Amino acid sequence: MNPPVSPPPMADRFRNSPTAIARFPFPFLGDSYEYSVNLVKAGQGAPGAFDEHWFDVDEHYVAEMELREQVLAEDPDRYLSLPHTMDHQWDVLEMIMERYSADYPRHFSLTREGDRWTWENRLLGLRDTFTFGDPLTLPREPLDYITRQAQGDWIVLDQREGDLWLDAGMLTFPADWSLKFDLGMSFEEWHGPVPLAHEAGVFKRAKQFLMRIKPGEPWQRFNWTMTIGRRWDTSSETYDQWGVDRTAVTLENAGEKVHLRVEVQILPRLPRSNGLLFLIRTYLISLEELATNPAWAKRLRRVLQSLPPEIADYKGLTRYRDTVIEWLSPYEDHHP
Amino acid sequence: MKTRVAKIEQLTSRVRRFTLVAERGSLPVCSGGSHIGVVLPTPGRTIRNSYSITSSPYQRSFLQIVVQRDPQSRGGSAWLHEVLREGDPLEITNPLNQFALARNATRHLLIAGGIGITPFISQIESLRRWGVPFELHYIYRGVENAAFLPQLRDGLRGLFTGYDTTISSRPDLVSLLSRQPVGSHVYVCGPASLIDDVVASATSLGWPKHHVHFERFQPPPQTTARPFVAKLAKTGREIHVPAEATLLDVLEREGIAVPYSCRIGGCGTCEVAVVGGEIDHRDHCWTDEDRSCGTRLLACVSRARNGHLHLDL
Repeated sequence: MNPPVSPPPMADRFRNSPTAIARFPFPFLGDSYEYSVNLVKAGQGAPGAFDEHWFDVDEHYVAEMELREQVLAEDPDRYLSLPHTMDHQWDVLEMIMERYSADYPRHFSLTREGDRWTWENRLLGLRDTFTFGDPLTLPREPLDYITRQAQGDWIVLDQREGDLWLDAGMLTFPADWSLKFDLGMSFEEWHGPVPLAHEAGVFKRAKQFLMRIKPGEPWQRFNWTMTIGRRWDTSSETYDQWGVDRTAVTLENAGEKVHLRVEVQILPRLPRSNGLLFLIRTYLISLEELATNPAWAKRLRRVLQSLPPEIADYKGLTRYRDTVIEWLSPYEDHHP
Repeated sequence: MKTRVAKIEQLTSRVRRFTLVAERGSLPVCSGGSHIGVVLPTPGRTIRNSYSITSSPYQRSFLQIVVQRDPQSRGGSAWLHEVLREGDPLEITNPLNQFALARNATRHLLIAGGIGITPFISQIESLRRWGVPFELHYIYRGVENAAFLPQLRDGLRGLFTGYDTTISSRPDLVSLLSRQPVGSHVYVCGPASLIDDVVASATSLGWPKHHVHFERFQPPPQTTARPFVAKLAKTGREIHVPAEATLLDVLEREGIAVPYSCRIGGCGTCEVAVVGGEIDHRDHCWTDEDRSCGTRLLACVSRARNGHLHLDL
């Protein structure tokens, strides 16, 4: 059977409006690639910006949640949790419900009478009453329940023995990794495949920083790669379906097919369990959409030109990097 | 954040409990064993001390801290005892937990010395809620000086053992640790000598390093502190750190801001990059590997080994 080549399903529902493009989290602050931890405080952005609130809800909310249900229906192991994470799960549920209802009161509301909570999600047409702390009063585990209603992938890290352990998560839109493979791993173990950074001591320093994050003071960083087609689910499990797309990029189709994939990663302390939450809030933008801002197109081209080969390989860009650089060349200064 | 002192209670002759409520909004939620920073506008200068939270992690209407008046205080505990009144405002920082319970422990052995009982008060709330096995051993000098003693005795029947050192001896740590099943974790908070004894006993019995947790209230004794000169790479300035002051103290006095939290070498916040000179590491939060690189130190406790350091500041 031939693997399905793009366009992937539901591509149209994720087209970016001019507003979505204007608020796209363009991650490059300079014209060359530099690996850094790049941590800043979360939720400090201007009104309407992607980083106004800790947890961004945008125009793709309903489409993303419906796609998540599809992915889970095909592979239920995209949600996994170890048994000792129940406190962490309630922390996450509480945090998302509090933040969503405070930051997007038109769409979400939370009513609390002691431990009796009523949650209303008007975007998905849900209204549930449950007892906080009693998992039997929810249709699913707390983390599973709430992350089916919250944009982005949600990873729960337990902090113990001087390390951070990847012990639960909802991961339907990964950039080529697998929750099933990484579950239970320590911080440096699940970052094992990243080139160069281990030698630079980046993970050790980053981990020490992360372990000191305080409740109420989440941090934010960018990560990025590129994806062919507006394909959200690029997990290791489905590589056979999307890996081949990388060979099909041409100068003619690059503008539509090649997407910059940006992860805005938000790291709040989970207050009662003392765990750390790792939200990977993914944004996809095609080169055509991105080039409506010529300054971004020029900068992306320069970053791609300066990317070390190991990083290009790790991000899976090697086969089509030169094509993208050429596609972007009209945006370079002094272009003939 | 801004809080207000709702209540002050005298628990023993030297120990007071302060109940704080939010001035507006809600108080931060925290886990058992957390501490907060309290901003103390003492005469002369503003200092920030850390105190364990003793209120339950499972309610949000107030936070409680317990403070023992320290005769050698830098002024912080004296100010809290003598100046602060009910109804006064008090500025606090968000909680941090460096003495967290290990969720994967099969059993928790808690050992408190004196005012070192405080972080265990909130941890016990979590342990009871989780329904996991634990026992608490509390060493104190005279029942009249032992904060929380009546409530622990009554509330933890069968799980609590007290040791009054005015009439009996400390527990036999080796035998206590030997009795614990595989998978147990031990937690100790109190005077440095007690912490050192527990850590040494656990090590001698072959306990895994990550199963031994401790929280110090004081920096390790600095018996051999000598003065040194720190040269600042960015400005070329030289600053003199006398034997009785820390590098962090002197940097602050000179108007050079370095982020800090615990000030006793326990949290790692006041890390400063070192470009030259040999470091005398005195922290207790880094690993030997962290210290061996020789390119950074914690300014609140660590010093120069040979009289000078060149700092990337």
